[in-house]
Amino acid sequence: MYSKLPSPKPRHPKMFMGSISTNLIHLRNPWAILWWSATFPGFGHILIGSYVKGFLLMVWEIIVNTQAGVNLGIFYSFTGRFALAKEVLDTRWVLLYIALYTYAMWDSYRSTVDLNKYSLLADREESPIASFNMDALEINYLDKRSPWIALVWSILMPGAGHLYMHCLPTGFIVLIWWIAITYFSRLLQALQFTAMGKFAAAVNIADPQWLLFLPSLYGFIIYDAYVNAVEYNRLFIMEQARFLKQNYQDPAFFMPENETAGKEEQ
Amino acid sequence: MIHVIASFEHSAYLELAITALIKNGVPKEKILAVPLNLEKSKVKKTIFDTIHRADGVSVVDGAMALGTVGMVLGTIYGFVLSWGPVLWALLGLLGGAVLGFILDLLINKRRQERRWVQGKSTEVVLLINCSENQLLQVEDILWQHYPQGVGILNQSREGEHGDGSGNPVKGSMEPTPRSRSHQ
Repeated sequence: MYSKLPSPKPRHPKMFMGSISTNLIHLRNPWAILWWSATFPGFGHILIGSYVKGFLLMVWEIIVNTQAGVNLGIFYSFTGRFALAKEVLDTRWVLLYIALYTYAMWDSYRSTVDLNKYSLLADREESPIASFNMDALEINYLDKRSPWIALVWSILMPGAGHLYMHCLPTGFIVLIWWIAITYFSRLLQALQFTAMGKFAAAVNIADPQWLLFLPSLYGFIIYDAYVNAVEYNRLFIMEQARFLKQNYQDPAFFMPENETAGKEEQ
Repeated sequence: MIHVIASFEHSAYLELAITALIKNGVPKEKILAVPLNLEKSKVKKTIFDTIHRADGVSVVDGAMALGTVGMVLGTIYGFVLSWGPVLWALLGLLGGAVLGFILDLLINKRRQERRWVQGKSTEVVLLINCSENQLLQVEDILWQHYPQGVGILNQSREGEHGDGSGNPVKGSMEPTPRSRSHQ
């Protein structure tokens, strides 16, 4: 199978292979997806392959959260400084945050439940799996890749694990956001002070509004790279197993004989 | 009549091995490939997802979910604790991930039966039907493509390569030693 659109077109596709990334449907726990949407609107959608929604919700989250001061409000509330929390939340923005935040969780949960059904249908239909796609600019193919290597690259540099998996849109978008957010949060300067043991200086320089974006981004990116690696490996195995069954199980194959051996035993 | 039996993992090497055999004169219909079903085996559960397969409930689910919670809390309280937000964030990530991993293991204990086969395992069995003078070449080609093992089943019959006594030569399975591999 060397084309991105296997023919005849399946009623329930299992996957789509573009040259810059591979999209697929597999069974997922809708609560896990909802959880990732709660940590950062957009992540749930990226996990289930709804990338445009996911990337745009990420942009929305970063703009509205920073303008409304949601992270700062969380920060002050958790540390018991409620008066400060009330002060930093900007009423010109904060109500815009609520409905779409809830919508992202609800919508990603709902989509997961639906897609799980279509994933089963695609499996039962033995919906075709493409294994290689190349165009003028990129080469994408299924292969076995190590989930642990994807995980380690994501830990070292969020986005790199996705580039290893050839999820180029997620990889580069996360890379850009990671650089922007570490810059505005002054994470690396805080890291420098922390490494030198100057903890007070680290506290002073770090910006909590921006720093609080990082944990969910970091956790998500490690998780998503790992899960994609595992699922792409399964696709690879499924595709190759089908190919072998179709091409190397000739009915005329001469099986080892047991007729004579059977007689000897009697 | 000789059968060469080899076991492989799913990989591009497997297809390279098959095509190399065909290029070297083994007809396509004399090659039989049986992909093994890896999902329904009722074997002892694996703990870690591997490169080969995962259970629907991955071990990083709980670890990363709680790791993120721990990291958020670590970042927040790090601002008021003595070590600062960076160290506490990392400690929170580690603590949360360990806790999530343990919880995942405990919760998923019940699902043991549905798990995958443990560790590195054979994924495809290859049978090649060849003549005695092709045997060495077939074996060599197989070993060059990273099999997990290669065995030979020799069932040469009377009149073909008998021992002269008129008795058929018994089928024998001889595993070839690993040292013949070209790795």
